[in-house]
Amino acid sequence: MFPTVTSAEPFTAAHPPTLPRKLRVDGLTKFFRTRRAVIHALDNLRFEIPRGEFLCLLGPSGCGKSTLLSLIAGLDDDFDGAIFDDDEKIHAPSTARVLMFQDATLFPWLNVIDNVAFGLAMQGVPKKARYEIAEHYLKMVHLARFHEAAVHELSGGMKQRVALARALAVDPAVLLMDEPFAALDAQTRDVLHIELEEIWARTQKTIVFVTHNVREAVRLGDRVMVMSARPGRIVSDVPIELPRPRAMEDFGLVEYTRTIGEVLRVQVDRVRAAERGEEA
Amino acid sequence: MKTTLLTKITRQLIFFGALAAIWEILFRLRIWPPYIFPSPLAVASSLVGGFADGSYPIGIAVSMTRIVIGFGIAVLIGLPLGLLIGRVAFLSDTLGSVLSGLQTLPSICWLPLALIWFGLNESAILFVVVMGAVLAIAIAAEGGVRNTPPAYLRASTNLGARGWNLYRHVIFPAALPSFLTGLRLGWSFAWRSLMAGELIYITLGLGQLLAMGRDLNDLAQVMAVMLVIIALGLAVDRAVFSPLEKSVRYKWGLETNAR
Ligand SMILES: Nc1ncnc2c1ncn2[C@@H]1O[C@H](COP(=O)(O)OP(=O)(O)OP(=O)(O)O)[C@@H](O)[C@H]1O
Ligand SMILES: [Mg+2]
Repeated sequence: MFPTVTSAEPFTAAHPPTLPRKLRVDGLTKFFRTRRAVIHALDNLRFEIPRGEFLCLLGPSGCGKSTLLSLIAGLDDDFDGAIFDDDEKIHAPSTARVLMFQDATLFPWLNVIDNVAFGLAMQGVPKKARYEIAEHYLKMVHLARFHEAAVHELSGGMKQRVALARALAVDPAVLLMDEPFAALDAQTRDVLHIELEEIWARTQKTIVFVTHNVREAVRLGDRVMVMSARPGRIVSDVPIELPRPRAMEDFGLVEYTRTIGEVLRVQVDRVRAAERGEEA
Repeated sequence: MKTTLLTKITRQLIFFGALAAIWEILFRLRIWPPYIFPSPLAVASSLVGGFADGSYPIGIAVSMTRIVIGFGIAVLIGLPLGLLIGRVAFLSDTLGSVLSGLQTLPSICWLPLALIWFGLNESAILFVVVMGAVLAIAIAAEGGVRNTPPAYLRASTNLGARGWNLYRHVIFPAALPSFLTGLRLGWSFAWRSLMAGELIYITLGLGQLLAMGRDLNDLAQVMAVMLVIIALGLAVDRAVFSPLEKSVRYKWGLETNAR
């Protein structure tokens, strides 16, 4: 019935099991200073993500979701406030927190398997071992047949799946996902929801998952947060108390989707109104 | 609309045929005397004769050997130089501005210097060829490593790439399209410098055949050699550099269409 991952997580010396982490965002404010303007992207965010939580993040376009993820990943240290990974202040990137980008960003000079194995290669894992691990994750995203393929031969959805495998291959404690399944058809997305949920249940990774799809957020999240129009603030923070496994059509899920959808729509309308105002 | 290879070739045949016909008509009108304006047939027979008596093949061999050596040296110097300048701020502020300054100098201007430094020999002409190509190659390589798409840097540092690994596995490969553009430009500069050098300072080579044609007042020979020079320049670009650059740009996602 449901596709399942057959083999267990491959553990090697260079690939020890990682422990889940708690994240804490404390008074996080972010400005982008460009030549033309100062953009206030995030405003005094304050929240905690417990160990092993699956958090989904919603918000109108341009509200700062991607920005928040890259700050948590440590890819930009120019911000006010602080972010803690367990008790350590985040100031630099680390393979403990891997960001899966909105646009995959695979490396075109590497084929699929070398893309997936990239992080392991950087850690100095020998070729044979890292290919074994990479194959394992490629199988998980149903792309085992494409390990030799070049990046430009993949569809958008396939690229996203390779990017997921690439992120998982370094076994991060925290997985940051920026609209990872937006380019996929509903069937593939359903399959990957199940896979992701299973990986998460087994590895107890902390996951922050950004999406525009309210139903997807409710389907996956232990908790759903809605951000306001720019500057991004948290306007709603809802624990999803539904048993797993969940299906998109579940009654409870539809109910949550409706209430959270209302909250989101208010924010999206605010963005629209502001845009209309600028045009007028 | 997509044109097939066949229609493209047909069009070119018609175009060049018409060009030759107009040329022949102009010749027959005798507006200019033949020693100023030779007929296409005279040029063609010069071409055939030059290949038959071995002077063109020798000229081609000599010029090609020179440019391959000169270009090779230019690549060996230019690429590392560009990479260094692109990543070391001190070098980019100092040497970088020197390079862009020197690039405005047509490379044949190095010939007097080269003649004094090296004397009237092969090294002098190689020096001019190297100077023609090295700056273009270095400057393109510098741009390539300086302008790594930030997305690649973010993704790779997030996955643990640091220091030399970052250069070797991300910054250099990401710059490959720029390197290739530099090589292509460098090659065409080298070709021009070589021809100029051979024209002025004569020892074998296609440039010398050109100069000889002028000395003998044999315009048909001059035009025939010009055609050979154009054909060679075009052939190398079309057979080597253009396809390489295009296919890499396509794979790197910089061009949407392979053709
Ligand atoms: N490098 C940057 N320089 C300047 N402004 C930026 C930069 N990155 C993001 N911004 C601005 O910050 C704001 C938030 O951007 P961000 O990409 O985080 O939005 P988002 O919520 O992810 O949107 P989307 O849902 O469309 O992906 C936007 O207004 C954007 O214009
Ligand atoms: Mg975004």
